[in-house]
Amino acid sequence: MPSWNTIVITSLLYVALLFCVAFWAEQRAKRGQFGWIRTPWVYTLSLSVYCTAWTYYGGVGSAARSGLEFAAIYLGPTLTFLGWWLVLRKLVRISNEQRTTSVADLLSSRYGKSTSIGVVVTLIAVLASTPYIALQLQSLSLSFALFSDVGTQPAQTAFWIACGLAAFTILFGTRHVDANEQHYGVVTAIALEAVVKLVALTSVGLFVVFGIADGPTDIFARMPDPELLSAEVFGPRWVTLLFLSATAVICLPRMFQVAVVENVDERHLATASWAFPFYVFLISLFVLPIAIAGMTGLPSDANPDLYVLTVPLGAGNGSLALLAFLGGFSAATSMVIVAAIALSTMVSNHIIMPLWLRSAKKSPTASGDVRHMLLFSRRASIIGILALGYIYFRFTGGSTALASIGLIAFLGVAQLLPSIIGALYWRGATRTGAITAVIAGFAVWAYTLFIPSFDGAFLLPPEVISNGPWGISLLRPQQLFGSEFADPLVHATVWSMTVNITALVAVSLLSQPSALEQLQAKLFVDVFNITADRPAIALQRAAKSEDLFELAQRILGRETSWRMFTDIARSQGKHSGLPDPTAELTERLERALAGAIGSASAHAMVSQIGGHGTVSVSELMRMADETAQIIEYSNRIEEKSRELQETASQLRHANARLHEIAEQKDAFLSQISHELRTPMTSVRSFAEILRDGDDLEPEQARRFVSIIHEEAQRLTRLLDEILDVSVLENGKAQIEKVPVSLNASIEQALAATEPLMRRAGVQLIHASGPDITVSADRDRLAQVLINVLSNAVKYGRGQPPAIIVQVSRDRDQVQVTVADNGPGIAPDDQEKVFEKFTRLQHQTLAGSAGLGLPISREIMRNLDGDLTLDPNGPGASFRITLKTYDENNHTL
Amino acid sequence: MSQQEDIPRARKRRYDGAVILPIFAAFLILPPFIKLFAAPVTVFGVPLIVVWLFGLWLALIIIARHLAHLLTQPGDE
Repeated sequence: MPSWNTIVITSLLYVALLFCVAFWAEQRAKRGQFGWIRTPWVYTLSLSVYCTAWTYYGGVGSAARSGLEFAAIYLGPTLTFLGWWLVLRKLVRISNEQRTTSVADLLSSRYGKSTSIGVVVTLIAVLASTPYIALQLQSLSLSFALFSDVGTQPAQTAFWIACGLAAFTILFGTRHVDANEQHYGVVTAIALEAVVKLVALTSVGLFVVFGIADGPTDIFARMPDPELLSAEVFGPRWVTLLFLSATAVICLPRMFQVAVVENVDERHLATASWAFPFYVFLISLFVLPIAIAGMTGLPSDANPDLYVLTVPLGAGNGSLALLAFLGGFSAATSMVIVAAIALSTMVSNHIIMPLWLRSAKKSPTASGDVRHMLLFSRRASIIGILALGYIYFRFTGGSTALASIGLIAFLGVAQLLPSIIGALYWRGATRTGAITAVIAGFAVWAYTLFIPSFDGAFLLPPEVISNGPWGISLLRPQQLFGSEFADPLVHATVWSMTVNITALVAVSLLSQPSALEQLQAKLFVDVFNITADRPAIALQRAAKSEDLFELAQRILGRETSWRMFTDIARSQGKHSGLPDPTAELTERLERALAGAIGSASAHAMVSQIGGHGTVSVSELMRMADETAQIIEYSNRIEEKSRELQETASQLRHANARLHEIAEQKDAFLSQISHELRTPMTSVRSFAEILRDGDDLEPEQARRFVSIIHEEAQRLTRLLDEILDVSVLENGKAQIEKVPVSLNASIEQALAATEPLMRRAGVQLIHASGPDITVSADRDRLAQVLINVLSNAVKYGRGQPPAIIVQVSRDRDQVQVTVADNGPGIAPDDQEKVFEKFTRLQHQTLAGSAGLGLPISREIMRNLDGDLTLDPNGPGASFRITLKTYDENNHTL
Repeated sequence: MSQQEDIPRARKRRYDGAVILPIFAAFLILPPFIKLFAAPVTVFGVPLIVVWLFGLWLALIIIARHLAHLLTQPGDE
């Protein structure tokens, strides 16, 4: 048996070796010579931090008590790693993208960079891990005590071990504040410890199988009770253990630290997917043989949890026992170191930093050195966590409560699982939902498993545990609502997970996520779709580059910040000076800071400088609104322009009409001056002859005077017509509507035009029908009829000329058609005949200025009728429309 | 030509395999199935359940290794 001194000196030498390895790796990494430090093998070995002293020693103990049950603790992680493609790969990708520093940071970042969820997760992690750390201290002090020939104080041993671990952790865990929180020194030392663990346990196993026994057949033949391997063990507890251990690989802070945070290359995960299961396979391969050897070869009162040490000792193999001791020492120390790093990061990033930020209230660039503050808080946290573990060990050490704490801790951190899975796969999971789920699940865990595990020594007295609070049996902690589970662990797992998942789903569905949460949810859930080309979604913030640089320097250090900012400036195309303060710069800086101080604190710090991001839901809605408005505007403009086009075309049309009318006016003026000039000329010349001609014969003079009279009359008529048009058009004409006999009016007009027709030899075709009383002005109607008839005589000119006058009636409408058999009117001219001063083909006929038809039409319109040209007639066919006289209509 | 068409299909099969493997493994080590092997039978002196559990474990590791190798081939991301 190795002496106490040998054990102490070996331990110290081993620790010195670890220090050297860690220091050497750290130095190499610093120079950029990573070599095999960054290989998948080191990564895989560092994962072995899963195998703590509890599994190293306790696995054999468990095998001695319940057979293959111990295998579940290793098969769970095997399942998780076999399924790396599903969960771990996504987790690692997200963590690399978001620079996640811990499991609390992951959840805080996903749920809107929330400080509160970070605090909750950190507290839970510390609460669940402290007993676990105490357990490691206990197993270390127990194993030391085994070798001591003098009476050692376990508390004292544990104290010095805790101090040594704190020193190592502070030295290599908080050497610097990095943008990606990776500790090459620690990881390499852990990898070395992993090898020691494996070699130690395998050596003991080989010694048992081939040294003590005679091969595998012999060792299993020695099995004291065949019932140990019965099917009994594969019950609900087996399923629960598989679930908890599979979960623990992701949720345990130290496992998250080595598997996710310390991962430098996603491809390492692919190697670890089979190599880590192989490692735990090898670890568990000899557990059962060692247990059998312990049960058969050692006194029955020997502690099965120490068989790994006592079996070689019992066989007199001191050096093998020393190796086994080093394996257990490695298992315990690696767990404590990594757990302390992970927990201190969480405590300092999620509890101390936010508190400090809040209390500082001033700009973080102006107040002290953040780096210094950060390192100090990390170191203080490490000491605090180890102190907590030690205190816990002092108060509960040796009790059975501590032995079962491993699985209790597993279930404690498993309360984070639903929120993690929700974070990765369900965009609808909200911050409120996650906080509620974690707190509710944790509360059920504490009530049903953690507190009862003290057997009434802590918070709940024994009678409450057996009878329920206030005697309410439905609330018995280990038979909640009367549920009967043989195993308290299974009972607590079922209840806490049910409550946890229900709370997450229900509260998430009922609560509203903030804009930042939605943004982060997208970045998390769709990480594989958006990694290739980063999305353009970024918070728009207004910060000065100088301030951002100052902040980066305070936390990341001058050199790192300078490199990062130069990099960004170069990518922006600037060759000197600081980069422009774009959204991309702030976002990149925030991520880099998140790698050091956690996303929530990084977000808070950058926001303190640059103001909070402006992508709020209302903002998004406003942007959507703006788009809608722009669309509406453009629609309106289109409509306007269409209207304008229409108006323009109308104006063009009107303009053309005006041109035409102006031309007509010109034509009229020349026409009218000509018309007026002709009679005026004759009047003047005859008047001159009369004035100068003293020798004129009286008869000749009388003839001249009568010509002057006729010409004057003609002039008067012409002026009357012009006057008539303007009066009618202005609507000032007084036309009364009285009952008029249509036949009488036609007869009157025919009589008036009869001489004209006879002179032209026109044949009149008219059959007067039954008399119709129309509403009209007798004289005006006659005037219209005469005008139309005389036009027909003047322009008809058929061979032989004929004029047809017809009357037809359609209810209260009467039509009088006057048609000739002449050449008719060309279609182009059909509208023009009703225009003033128009005479077709510029024919001039004495006594007309071309105003007859326009005047007639105005008269008819004033009589509520019309005068139109029938375009279908063989010759010119004018239609006069009239209303029949109606008493009622008239009185109205 | 046919080889080029086969590549995405082969890759799809690997992805499917990566998803199915843990589910399949869980089925094999969960109660109704694993209880079949907990019989008092020995294989070369070693209890059947021990041989089955560790043999299965090793087989899963070998499949996982093969799959990880396929999944990390260049151009597979």
